[in-house]
Amino acid sequence: MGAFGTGLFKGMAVTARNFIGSYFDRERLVTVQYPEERIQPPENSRTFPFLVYDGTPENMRCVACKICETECPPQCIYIVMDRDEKGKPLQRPKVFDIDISVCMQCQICVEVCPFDAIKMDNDYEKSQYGRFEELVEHLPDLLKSNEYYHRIKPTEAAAVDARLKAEAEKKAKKAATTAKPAPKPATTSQAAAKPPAPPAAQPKPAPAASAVTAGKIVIPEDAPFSAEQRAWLAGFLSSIGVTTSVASVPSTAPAPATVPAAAEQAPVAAETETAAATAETTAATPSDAPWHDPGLSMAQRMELAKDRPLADKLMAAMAQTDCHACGYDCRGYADAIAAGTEKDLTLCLPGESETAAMLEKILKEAGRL
Amino acid sequence: MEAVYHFLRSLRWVGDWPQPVLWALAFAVPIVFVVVVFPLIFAYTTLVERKALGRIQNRLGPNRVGRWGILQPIADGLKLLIKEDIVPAKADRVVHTLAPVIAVIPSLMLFTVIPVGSGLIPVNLNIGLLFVFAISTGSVLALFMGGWASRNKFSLLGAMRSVAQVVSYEVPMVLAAVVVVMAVGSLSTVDIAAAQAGGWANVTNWFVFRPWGFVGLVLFLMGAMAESARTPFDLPEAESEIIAGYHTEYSGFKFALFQLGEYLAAIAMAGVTVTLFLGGYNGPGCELPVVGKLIGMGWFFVKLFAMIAVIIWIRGTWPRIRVDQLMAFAWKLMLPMAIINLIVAALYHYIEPKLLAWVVSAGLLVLSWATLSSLSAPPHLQKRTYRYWA
Repeated sequence: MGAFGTGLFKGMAVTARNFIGSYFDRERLVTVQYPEERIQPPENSRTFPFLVYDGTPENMRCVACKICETECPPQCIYIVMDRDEKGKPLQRPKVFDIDISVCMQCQICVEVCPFDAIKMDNDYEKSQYGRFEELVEHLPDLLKSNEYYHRIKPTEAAAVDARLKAEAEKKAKKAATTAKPAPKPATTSQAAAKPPAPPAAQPKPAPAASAVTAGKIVIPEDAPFSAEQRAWLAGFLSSIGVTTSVASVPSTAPAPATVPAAAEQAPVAAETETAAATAETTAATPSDAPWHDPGLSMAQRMELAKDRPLADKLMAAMAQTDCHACGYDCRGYADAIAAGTEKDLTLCLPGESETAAMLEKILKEAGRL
Repeated sequence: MEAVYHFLRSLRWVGDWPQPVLWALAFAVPIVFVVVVFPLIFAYTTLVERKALGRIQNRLGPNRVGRWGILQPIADGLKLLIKEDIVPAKADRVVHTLAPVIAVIPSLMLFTVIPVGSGLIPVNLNIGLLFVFAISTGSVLALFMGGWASRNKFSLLGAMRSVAQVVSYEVPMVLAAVVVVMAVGSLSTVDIAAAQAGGWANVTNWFVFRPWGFVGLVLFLMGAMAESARTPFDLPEAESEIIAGYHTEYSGFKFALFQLGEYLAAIAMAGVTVTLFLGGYNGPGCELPVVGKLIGMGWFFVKLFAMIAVIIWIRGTWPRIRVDQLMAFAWKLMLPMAIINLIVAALYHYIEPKLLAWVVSAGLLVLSWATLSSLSAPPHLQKRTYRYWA
């Protein structure tokens, strides 16, 4: 009985302490009056991705390799590579859109980016007056300076800077020790500053090119499919165990469809107009390089290129993103390896170890290693 | 009212005016006082309450409208004025509209018999206390009208609860006030306040310093809080159970009128509590010849705000009680306690010397409280053991 009703007064003592304490103890008032007061979000908090640039927005780290676009689970990234008036890839995005109404803030784009170009922001003030175009962030909105990155995530940004510096030094040392100066194309000086991803530790076994054993279906070249539909169809057919091929109907492309790979004696030529035109034609006419589609698997690409010359086989082993991380486009890198001017087989970043292993395998089969 | 009349007569320029004009003025002054000052107190009570509840919960409370949120009540009032006035399609329109009006009027009428200072009372009724109980119970009519006319199950539930609650708590509340009537021998609130004058610094004669007065104060305050549906007796508008109870279907200024009525009733009951038990306007300095009236008025309002603060403090602390607990508390604890208190007050009157009377009545009250609370305490449950709990 002694305790009957005393709890009520204990409670009143507690609230009285709160009431009086809130006037003297600032620690008690945890309210942050938001528009006037803000809390710096914790360093590891994240909202949506942004693109890092060094110095000026033109000097962005992104090379439009589209790895993030491919990997993004909800498919909220859309990238178009920028090209000059001659069609030569400029190793930077012309369009880079992130639909933040779709983005699920998973950070996978950051994990896969070999260039440390895309990072997670912690800006939470993303309200808009609409829910369609307003929620799509375009390239100018996405570009933020490295200094900004340092400001929001000092530890992480410092680690990234240290890694980039170490890789740049390694690359410079390698270039210096090479007997013959690496015949890099002119524009790759920019790429040299962009270090590749750390080489994969354990190369995966290359999938057997002959894995697909079922019947063969011919998709005529003049069939009314767009390139996308064609790629999807090829992927779909191969997924149900049917090998596809394209009928060798003469290409209707205006430019010469093929340039002999052997003709490109120096990779410098890869940057010539012809090579650029080749790249263009290659992209435009699947008949010349039907494997030139990042949506296909390695096994499918190798199957498509199995009767082709060495340079074509090598190209089919690339990731087909034309990301220029290696310093060439996919065709150029394959040609350089075939011509013997490029010895490093690990330069294809989007293809990772799978491509490196496949390149090694092809060269071994050709007796070149 | 008479005080105002005599004051006007004594003025040099006004005193010569015809008598009916002076009487009309004497009527107008208290009316304006009640209709303006107490709603203003209501407006700022809401702000103070929100601030205090915020601080109790370690929040800031409203601070956006003006410095310290000082204009918040005005903003609230404007907002409620311009809001749409919704009447449910199937509601009884007339009763639905009438209910909030009826809720406010009894609350305002309560202030007519509360002496805010010596002789400063709108109407000195010789049945003042009876008038208070008669009028304050009238507010339950408004609540039930509102709940019934809304044609909403939550409204009706809230209305039913409020009727049951007010009817139950009316009994111990009246009995708790009867001890004061016994001691004073009058139902007039002016006489009750005057009877508490004197003693050391006009303080020691307050009824709260008698054992039966203290118990009466606690019982009366409980009953007053229950009658004005304040936490912990806010079951008629328990938002977690029945949305907003009887005013679920009210919006705009009708809702504001309900709130106004409720708060005015709470403030008025706090005023009645002060008058009955806390000495009314009596306090140090109120016996002075000229400024005494003003000082007394000051004391009255200080005590009134202290009572309001206690009510807010209780609201910020105690949880809402259950319906069955509500009824059990009224009938099993408060009613017997009030009846015992009557007997103890009678004993106190006859025992001499008063010190002995004080000790005896205090002892009796403590003893009866102990007995009653142990009788109505919940059964002691066995200590639970858990087989798989280390």
